Amino acid sequence: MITLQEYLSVGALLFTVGLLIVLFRQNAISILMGIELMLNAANINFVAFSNALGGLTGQVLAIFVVVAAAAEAAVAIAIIVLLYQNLGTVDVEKARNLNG
Amino acid sequence: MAELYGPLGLSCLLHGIFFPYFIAFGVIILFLRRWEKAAMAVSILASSTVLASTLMLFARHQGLAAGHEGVLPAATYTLSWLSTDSAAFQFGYILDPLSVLMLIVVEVVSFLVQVYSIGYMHGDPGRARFYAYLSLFSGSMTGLVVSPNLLQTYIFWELVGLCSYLLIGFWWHKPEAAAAAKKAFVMTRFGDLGLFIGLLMLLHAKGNAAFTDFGTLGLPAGLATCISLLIFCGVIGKSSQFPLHVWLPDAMEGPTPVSALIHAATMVVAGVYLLSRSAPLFLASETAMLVVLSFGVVTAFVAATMACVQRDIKKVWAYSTVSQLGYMVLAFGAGSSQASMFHLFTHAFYKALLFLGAGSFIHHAGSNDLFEIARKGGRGMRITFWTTVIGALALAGLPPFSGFFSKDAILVAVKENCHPLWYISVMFVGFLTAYYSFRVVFILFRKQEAGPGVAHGHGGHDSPLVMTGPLMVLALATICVGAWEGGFGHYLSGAPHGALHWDVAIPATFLALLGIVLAGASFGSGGREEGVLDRLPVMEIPRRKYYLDDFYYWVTQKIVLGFSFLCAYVDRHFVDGAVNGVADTVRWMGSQWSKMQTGQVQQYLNVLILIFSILGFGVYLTVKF
Repeated sequence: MITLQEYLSVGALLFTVGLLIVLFRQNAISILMGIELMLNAANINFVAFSNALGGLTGQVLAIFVVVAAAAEAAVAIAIIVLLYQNLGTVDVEKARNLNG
Repeated sequence: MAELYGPLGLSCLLHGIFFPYFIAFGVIILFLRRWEKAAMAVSILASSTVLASTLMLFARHQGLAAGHEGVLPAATYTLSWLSTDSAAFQFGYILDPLSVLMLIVVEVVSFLVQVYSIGYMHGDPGRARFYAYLSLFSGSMTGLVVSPNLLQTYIFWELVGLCSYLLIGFWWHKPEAAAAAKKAFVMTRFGDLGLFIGLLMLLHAKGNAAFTDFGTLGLPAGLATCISLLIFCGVIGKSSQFPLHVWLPDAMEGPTPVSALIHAATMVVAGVYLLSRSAPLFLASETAMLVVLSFGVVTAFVAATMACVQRDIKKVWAYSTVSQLGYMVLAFGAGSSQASMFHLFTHAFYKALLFLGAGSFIHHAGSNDLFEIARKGGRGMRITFWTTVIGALALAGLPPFSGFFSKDAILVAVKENCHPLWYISVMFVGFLTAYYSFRVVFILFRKQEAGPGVAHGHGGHDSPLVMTGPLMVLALATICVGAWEGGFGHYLSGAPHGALHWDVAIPATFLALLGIVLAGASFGSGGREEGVLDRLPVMEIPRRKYYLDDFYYWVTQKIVLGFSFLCAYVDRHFVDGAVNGVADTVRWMGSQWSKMQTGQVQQYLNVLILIFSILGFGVYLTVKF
């Protein structure tokens, strides 16, 4: 039997990995993947709580998150394509036109 | 007391006096600027309407007064214009002997000046504009005379000032004229400021500035003195009393009819009229009366000495006007508002006569210089010359001319009510007056010189009838008006006027004759340009205008400009420095702060996470699960 605590630990671990990727990777596609990891960590939590509390609300929310993630990925990839077209790179440190 | 005058009749006449000039001004300035003849016709039509209404008003009003015991009370016809909790303002007319007499002076002289200007301004390209301004001026003066309260007076007072600016600077292309106009405006504004403050204080104290209430104001003594003196400030400016008299001689840069109208007969006497109007206020304060008296005497003396050394005929009459205004003011200060008004009345006619005569000479000779006019045959202009002599006789105060009677009344008032020193000074001024007026006459009487400089002065040529006609009318008035003294006194103050005071009249006449003899001895024969008085070293002072112009010049050049430079320095370096400094500091700080915006998304995110972590940790510490 896998306890709620263990589910949550996996979720937290996954979230941390995603966060670190977002914070420290320079490749825009990697950052996008980090975001996906974080979203899925949240999904694990939803589903785990749903399982533990015996309701369906968490599962429904997880499905919503998947939909949102799909939309987010579509938009983000479009942005990354444009970024590449304009700057010739997907390195976020190079995209600094908004500095003061 | 409106029922005394009947319900409508007289106020209708008052409309006929007040409105035509303003209508004429509007019509000329809007539609007739290019049609000079039409403009002249409109203006003179308005002027004659007003004159006719005035004479009818005078006839009816005087008829009432004759059948009335004592003096006729003042009637006011007013509309409520503005009323607040603390003050109520009326607009309208006041009708009493004072305003009627003043209307006669203003309208008669205005009418004659307008007729005279047909000849004098012949061929001037700006005649339409000239007549528009003349109309506006006469209208404003009329409005001032019929004002029932000080506020309305103040409004027209300023309008009169504006018109004098416009008319003095009528030949604006001459730099002297433009400067003189500016000087007149600024100098009178100086005094008007005092009048305005006095008006505000009166309104603040009583909420009402109606002249009919001046006798029953019940102000504390100090306040009454203060308000009187502030009103007198306005009089000093407008009636060109010492030390603000310097604008009037310069104002001779305007066309001569304007000098006659504004600077002899009407505008400058507005101040004297205002004094008589607010007499109850002044009579409540001995200090104020003494100040008025001393300003009047000083002005009369100073201006008379300056008139003795002028070569410009208009300037002689200008200083003479200042001196005679001094007479009026000192008469008021001596407690006889009636003598003051009577002198105003007689002076208006003979001074208008003298100015219009001067204009006729100038028109003929093309020069203002006395000796130049004589050389070009001034003596040959018979009507102009002899009417000028009549004016000069009246000015010198010889019987039976009008000036004699009014000066007699003034001298009696001064002798009875004041310290003998004042009386002696005024007597001496009378001597000077006779001297300078006959200095002009004797110089003009010299034989014409033959020579190449004589262009068109072959004797016998006088100015056209439109110019000599008004001269003759005014000369007739000058001769006749003096005899009306008794009727004048009864009409104005209800008191029958006593017979002549021989103890005053004889020495005054003797001194006047002495002045004439001195003038005759100095200028009667030979071609001298300097008389006995001119050789006195002390005459250098009046020749330099008592250094007043130099003083004002020094004040404006050194003190005012110096202060202005200081202000400019402070403004440029301190005020501007502070403003620019603040702006620069803000810009610098902004540029520093903007360096935080690195454009690195991940840095923003780092900061965000860091802050949320700290907040989350804080929540974890404080909230018990």
